[in-house]
Amino acid sequence: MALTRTPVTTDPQQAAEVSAPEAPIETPAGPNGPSHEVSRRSFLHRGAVAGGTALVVVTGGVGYRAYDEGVFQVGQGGAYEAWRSWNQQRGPMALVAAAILAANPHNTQAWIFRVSPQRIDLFADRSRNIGAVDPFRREMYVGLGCAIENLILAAGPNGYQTKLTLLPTPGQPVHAAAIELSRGPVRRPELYAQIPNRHTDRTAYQLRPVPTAAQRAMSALAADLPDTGLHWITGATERGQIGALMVAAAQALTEDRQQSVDDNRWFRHDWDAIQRLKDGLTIDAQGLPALTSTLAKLIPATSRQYNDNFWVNHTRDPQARTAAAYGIISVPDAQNDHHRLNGGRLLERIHLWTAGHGLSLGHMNQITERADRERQLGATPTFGNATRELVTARGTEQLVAFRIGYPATGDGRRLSPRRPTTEVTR
Amino acid sequence: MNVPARRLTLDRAAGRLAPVGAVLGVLAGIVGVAVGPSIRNVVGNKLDTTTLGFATIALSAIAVAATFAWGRPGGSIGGRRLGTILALALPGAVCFTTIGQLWYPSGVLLLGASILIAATTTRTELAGAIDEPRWLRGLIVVLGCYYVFLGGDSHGSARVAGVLGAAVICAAVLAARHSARLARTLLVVGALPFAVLTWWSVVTPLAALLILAIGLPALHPNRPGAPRAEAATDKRPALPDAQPVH
Repeated sequence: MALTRTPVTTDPQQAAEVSAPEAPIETPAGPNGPSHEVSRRSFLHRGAVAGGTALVVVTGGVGYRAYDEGVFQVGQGGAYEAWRSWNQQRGPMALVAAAILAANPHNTQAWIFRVSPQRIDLFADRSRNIGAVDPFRREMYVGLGCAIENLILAAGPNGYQTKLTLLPTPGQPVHAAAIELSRGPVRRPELYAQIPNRHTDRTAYQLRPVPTAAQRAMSALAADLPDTGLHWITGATERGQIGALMVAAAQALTEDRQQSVDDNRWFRHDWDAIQRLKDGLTIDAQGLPALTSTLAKLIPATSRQYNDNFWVNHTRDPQARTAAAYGIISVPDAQNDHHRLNGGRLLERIHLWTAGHGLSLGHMNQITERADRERQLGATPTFGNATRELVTARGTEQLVAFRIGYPATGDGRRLSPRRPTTEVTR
Repeated sequence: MNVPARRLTLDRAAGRLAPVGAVLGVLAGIVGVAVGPSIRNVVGNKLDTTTLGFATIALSAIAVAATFAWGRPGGSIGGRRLGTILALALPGAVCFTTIGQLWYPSGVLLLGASILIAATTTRTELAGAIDEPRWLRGLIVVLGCYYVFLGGDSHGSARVAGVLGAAVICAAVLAARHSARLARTLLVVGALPFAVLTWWSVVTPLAALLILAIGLPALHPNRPGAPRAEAATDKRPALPDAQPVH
């Protein structure tokens, strides 16, 4: 390295001549001055280059991790294809393609369809229950009700008339519904177009009230569904109370080990698992800001305790804090599968209606999940009593609850994975 | 130059292991592309076996190229040793995550070869490699390759910005021989759009930052990393230590 060498001479005059005009380093220090200066520069230069190289390697690692976790593939791949091809099929399968986009607990998609040209049978896939989170399968049947509603909504546009029979096989609640099909005129119900636009929105909502007219319109959706009702909680004080109750229920759920484990079992952190299983809760569907969502994917899978804490905190803020209103769907008997299925149909209608009117909806079933768990364990019905106080005065029981409001961002519109029709038909 | 016998022996061994590992790697990638979905448990339960198979082939091709360069005259001395180590070790390590067990033989061979070369590479050679101006330009090209990879994984305008951005970044490195100003302009034009479009991805803004932080000074005419600077150095009169001492 020529630049680091010191002129080999004992003559000061000569040394000045050879170093002054050409050498890049000029230091009038002692005889060893230039050498030290240049060595330090050289050292720093090499260090900078080595550091830059290390950063390039690290960036490569981060890039590969981003690729492996689908950071650039949000809403893409086979797990999300059902949202794009939902109206591409013909015949009875077109109805199933709409049904599988329905709301359902923890995105378990606990449904199996048996399809023939004249009839579709819907069965509950009990292997896909959420365990201790839904010990009496309340939410499972509500989710099946949602699927039934989508299926019936899709019948008209595909030239079918339907005759629905809930729980057609006595003593076999697994057989949730039978839908007989016959040819009919093509009709397009208003809610049908919203099927691919409906998504559970877990983000913060605007602090803007939901108009009374909108509440009335949604309540009217229950008109032809026997024994179902919709109750609104809109006052600030009442919203604060039910919000606090939901946070307390979420906290209690995370402190129940079995509920926590069963809850986390449906969380999908790994991109390959999402694409393979096509179900469950994902980071994308949590409604986190885009940057936060990416960071969550880049880090290693988080622990159950971390997920529990995140969920409790997220329930408190933004979910409870920014709920413009809460809706509670009530039925005479929340343990009755027939009532649950009808309640599910109403829930899906409301959700589709919000999608078509610029509103967002998020499901908030912490209270009933704890109430059912208390009942299963024979524990003091802390949340069981709370649910009764919420709606029993009106002679009915709380089936499910949701929050509603105007979305503050578009982050809550990301897709959830779905199993295609080929994987849910027998 | 006296080359120790141990170094010759190890280099010769590396020269035999590396080609076998690289060719096996290409074959493994082809198998991943062809029948990956049928042997998911073997290929690490990856879903997109086609893309990962092609990635394996591409990375193995780098190792193949490195083995060719290694065998050429002067390919195993000086800073080129570091280049060969990296060209064997990086595919050797990364491809364990692309096609799972199919990569085991290739990975072991390539990593083994790179270790053999590294074992007898001197600090001076490593330092010399890092000091070479080509090193910084190489880093910029590597970052451009990241853009191709991540752009290819993206969709819509981001994909276009990523792939085209990589081409423009590489063009910037080539243009530096003629015009530093043009080179720096191309570097900015190539790096920024993809990073802006995918700002939330963390990795593309980081890559863009590195492209500019490394590239702008490296392609500056008065910096050691710049091609023009090399030319200027070449024209400089001999330094004092090269002159005869009276």
